[in-house]
Amino acid sequence: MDIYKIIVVGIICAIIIVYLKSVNSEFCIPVSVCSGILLLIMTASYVTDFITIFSDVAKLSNINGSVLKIILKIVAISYLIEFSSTLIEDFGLKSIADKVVFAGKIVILTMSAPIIKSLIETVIGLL
Amino acid sequence: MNIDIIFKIAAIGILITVICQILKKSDRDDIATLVSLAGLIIVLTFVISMIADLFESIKNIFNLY
Repeated sequence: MDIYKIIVVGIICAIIIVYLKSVNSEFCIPVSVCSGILLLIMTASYVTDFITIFSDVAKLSNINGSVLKIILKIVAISYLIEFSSTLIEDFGLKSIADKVVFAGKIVILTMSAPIIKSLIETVIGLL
Repeated sequence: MNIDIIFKIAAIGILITVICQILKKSDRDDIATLVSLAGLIIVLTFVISMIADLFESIKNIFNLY
């Protein structure tokens, strides 16, 4: 399984960053950014498998396409927000990372508004 | 994605710090700052291209837009 590959890459990047910090050159920041991106791209293949399975299940349970698209968009946003907020936190700027997470929550909330509306409509329809 | 980008950036970092030390010892501090600035810009172009790749791959995965 290539989960070992991902783990080894993470450890190597951590060692390089620690070494660069000891030489206290300012290059540890770009290296940490690149290692984060590298690890994320490595997990991309798993995410694509999940997406195909998820859309098959959605087709089976005949959910209409728009809801599925919104759910996928929300997953994408959370993917990006998690990456960027932990990255900013690495640089020691906790407050900015929290703001990024807060903005992500707001965007996801507005994204999910139509789903909530359609849920309420179906409930009212049942009554 | 291959890992040699990380090694490339680390190598540039170490090289720049060594060059800066040498320049500082031969009391040419202005050139040292310029060299470190140039190194930083080169590394930032790497980082920006990698971020572009990340966003591209995420867009393809979730086939957004």
